[in-house]
Amino acid sequence: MKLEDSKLGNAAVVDVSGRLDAASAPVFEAHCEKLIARGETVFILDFEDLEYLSSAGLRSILTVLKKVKPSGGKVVICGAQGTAKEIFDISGFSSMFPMTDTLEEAASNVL
Amino acid sequence: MEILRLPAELESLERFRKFVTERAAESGLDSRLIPKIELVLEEILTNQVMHAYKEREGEAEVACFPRRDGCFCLQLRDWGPEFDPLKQAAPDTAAPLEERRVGGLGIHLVKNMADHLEYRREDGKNILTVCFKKPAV
Repeated sequence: MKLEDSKLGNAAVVDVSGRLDAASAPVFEAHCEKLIARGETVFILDFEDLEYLSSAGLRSILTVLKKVKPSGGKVVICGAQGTAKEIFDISGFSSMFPMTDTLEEAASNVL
Repeated sequence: MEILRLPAELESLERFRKFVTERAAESGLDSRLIPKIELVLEEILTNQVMHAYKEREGEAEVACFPRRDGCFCLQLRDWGPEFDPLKQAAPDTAAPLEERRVGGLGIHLVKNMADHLEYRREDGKNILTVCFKKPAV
């Protein structure tokens, strides 16, 4: 798994590529917690280059949402496709998180 | 039938994954099915580590075999206490965030990804068989 940070307006964009699984989910979660500690509350998770997702990954994404929600934060899931998209649908995450195809749509969702 | 037996711990996942994806590729399985097979493997193995052995040491075994009807099958075995993952309550995937719990989500994904699932307890072993149909061309 590779993580890359950028900013889009007031949102922290985390580009997650590779595998978000039981081994890497704690790393992803710790990374987001660091951003939250720095004051970030609005997240766009860019999953366009995500190759693999498991329930451990889902769990860490849900944890991020639970941490930012009390302070009015938001988490947008962007660019998910293939099996990862299917997993977001099956788990019900698609109805809990705004899902967008592109970063532009994600940005308009959080502004 | 090819079999790999390793300690039931998270660190074994990578070797199990390599073993299974190679067998799947050899059997000529559609590459679109690979992520689903990997998912099933990870969810079941993390379940075994967490539930079957509860931090105690133990072993897990993965076998790969084709079925006569052309399905690609995995069989996962452990020697922990009896535990039928298929009997876990389904998570409420429509619950609001505050009530959202992620337990059981892994098995829920497994049930949706596999075409056939079967659990049995035999000779002190938990045996879970999971089969995937070859997609129609």
